[in-house]
Amino acid sequence: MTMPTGSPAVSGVGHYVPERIVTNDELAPLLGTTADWILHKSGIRERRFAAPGQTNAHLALQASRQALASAGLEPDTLDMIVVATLSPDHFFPGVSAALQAGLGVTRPIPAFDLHAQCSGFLYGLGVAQGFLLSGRYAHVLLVGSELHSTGLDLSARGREVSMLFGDGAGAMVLSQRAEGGQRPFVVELFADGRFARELWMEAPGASLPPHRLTPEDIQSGRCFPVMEGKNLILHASRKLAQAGRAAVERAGLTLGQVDWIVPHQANLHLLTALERALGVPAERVLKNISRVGNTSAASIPIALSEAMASGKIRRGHRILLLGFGSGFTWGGCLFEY
Amino acid sequence: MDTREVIRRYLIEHSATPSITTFDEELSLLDQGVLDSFGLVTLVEFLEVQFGLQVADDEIDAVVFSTFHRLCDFVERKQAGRDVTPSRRPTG
Repeated sequence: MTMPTGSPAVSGVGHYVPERIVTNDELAPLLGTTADWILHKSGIRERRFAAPGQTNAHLALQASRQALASAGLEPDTLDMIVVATLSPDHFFPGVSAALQAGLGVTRPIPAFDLHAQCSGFLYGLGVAQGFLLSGRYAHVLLVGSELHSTGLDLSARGREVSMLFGDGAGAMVLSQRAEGGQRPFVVELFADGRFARELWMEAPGASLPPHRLTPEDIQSGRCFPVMEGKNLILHASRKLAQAGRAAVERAGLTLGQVDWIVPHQANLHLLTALERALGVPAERVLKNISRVGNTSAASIPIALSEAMASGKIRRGHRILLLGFGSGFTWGGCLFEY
Repeated sequence: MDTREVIRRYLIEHSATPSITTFDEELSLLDQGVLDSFGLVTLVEFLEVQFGLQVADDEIDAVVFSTFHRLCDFVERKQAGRDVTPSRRPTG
């Protein structure tokens, strides 16, 4: 397989997490468990929750401003905005509309939300790559942003799910690479809808007449995310490894030539299983889940942005991003920074 | 050593709770602390290598791995070449 021509460049990154830290000590009594139980089950010590009134779009805006500043670009130089999220502020319009307005973009560039759950940022990379390779657009803003804290079952019934999630946003500006600049940039995407109910949220939904959400939906917990957690780790570890190998192989590289692996931060046990499945040393797999929890579509760009800001990831490094989520959806992206 | 004994020894040697020396074959391995979620992943790797099995995505089901009996039944059915695919909930 030949390399795609005109590979995109990552010209800027940024991230934002809300100020409020929610520790296991604070969460555990609500969930009818202990801080140690949460840590043992997930590897998470704390996560961030948005302040009352803070919206998903607000998180996305902070991360986007940082990414634009890092790229040295003004908002009106953007050609497209894509927001990956499973926790939009409203059914419609998407977070992208509020983000476009919030950034002060005056050109009528396309802006839309992308719904691929925890793999959303990977899917967004595929979309951005396609538009950049078409030659039509020069700069695409891709954001992964989640506001989970307003939709969690903070009771003993929901503890298996609610202990995991936090709020946050990560953003990336992707640009056409200068002529002659050819670097690896491969995106591999997958889905298998047979597993849609292994991790899902039934309500609210347009399929639920008459009003999409009833008091019974809240009472029964149908309005909260549920998962078959014991299955998920088996599926996720295998599929993440599969996506990683596919991306690396298509780039004509080996896993030994990858400097950093940045997986979706779902659960520390999954990250450990992934290291084993790929046969890579733990030191090359970035982990921030103990500090920010699982932020779904935002987790990859947050971890990436943190590592770039700290200097851990530098220009010239080869990065493998891996995501897995509800759907099932999963994917990998291999690129040189 | 027969299949069941090999699996029993593996589960005790790799138990998520180090003090465990025995377990109830009819009760949940997770509830008894024999397996945790990471142990489930390594168990499947072990079964594939030890018995030369290929566990397909369709066959991954927490029920299969819930008790020692169900687990052994799964492995023996795989070894005999019988269908082990769980019925999945409709997604429509």
